[in-house]
Amino acid sequence: MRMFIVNLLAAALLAFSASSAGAIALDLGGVNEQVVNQGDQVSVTVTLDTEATTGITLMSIGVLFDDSRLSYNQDLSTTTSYVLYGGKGGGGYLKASDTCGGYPQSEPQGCTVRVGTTNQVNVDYVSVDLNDGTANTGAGILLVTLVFDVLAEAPNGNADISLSQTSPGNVIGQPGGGSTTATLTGNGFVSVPEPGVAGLSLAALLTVGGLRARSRQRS
Amino acid sequence: MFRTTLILLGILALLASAPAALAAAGDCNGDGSVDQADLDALVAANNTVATGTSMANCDYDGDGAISLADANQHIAESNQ
Repeated sequence: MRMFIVNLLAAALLAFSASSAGAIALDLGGVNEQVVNQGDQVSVTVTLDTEATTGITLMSIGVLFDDSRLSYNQDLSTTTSYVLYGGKGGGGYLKASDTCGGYPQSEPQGCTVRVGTTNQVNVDYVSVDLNDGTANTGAGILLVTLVFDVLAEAPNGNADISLSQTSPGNVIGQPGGGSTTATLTGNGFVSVPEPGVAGLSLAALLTVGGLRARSRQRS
Repeated sequence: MFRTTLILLGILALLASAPAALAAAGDCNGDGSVDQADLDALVAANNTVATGTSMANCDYDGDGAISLADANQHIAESNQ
């Protein structure tokens, strides 16, 4: 009896690990609490790891940002036109939605802000085979590079940038209208200092530099 | 006689409106039938305001905008 229970637990563990291996992972890169000043630009990337999952029919992932400090720059942003292409026929690969420049790409190549919002960019891909979805897998696939301008009048504080799969319009579709979820990583913020603080820091640096130059000249 | 004519006219009106009513759900392009073209229209209308009766029929989550989530729901409804 004890052996039976142990075997049962082992089987359950195997089943659990097999199902979790099928999760999709999306990573937001470039948001690492760096200090940015008013007028700067912030570039972030979204990369996909299918974790061996196939059958993706539709994919819409939201990138949410603090629009009181950041402004999305669609013209400078770029999208990879197609991903998960494989072999003859392509295997139901994903192509960028028309809202992300389409395939083949046309200007602008950056994804659009979600209609009716000011703080959500949806990264949208559509499989060329909406019945069976993608047939290929991959890791570290760059989907988009999104550029944000730090507003000239941005108040000091942290500007959050994060991935979302539950915001309006978001879905990771699977055959027959099913859906799955992804593991999201890399969410964070960039830090906008007080304009006066930034100015003071610059002035202090210049003063120190000037004093050093003067002391060198004297010696 | 008048009553019979009225009843017949009522039945005719019902018959005329029935196909449109049946085709309304999932008929994204308003052509009176639900097929692949509706899904194509839905995907093409991604990230737009759900204007017009046809697109409003395919705004499955009712948020006033067409999205890939609506397209996925359309596939699910079509498979039922």
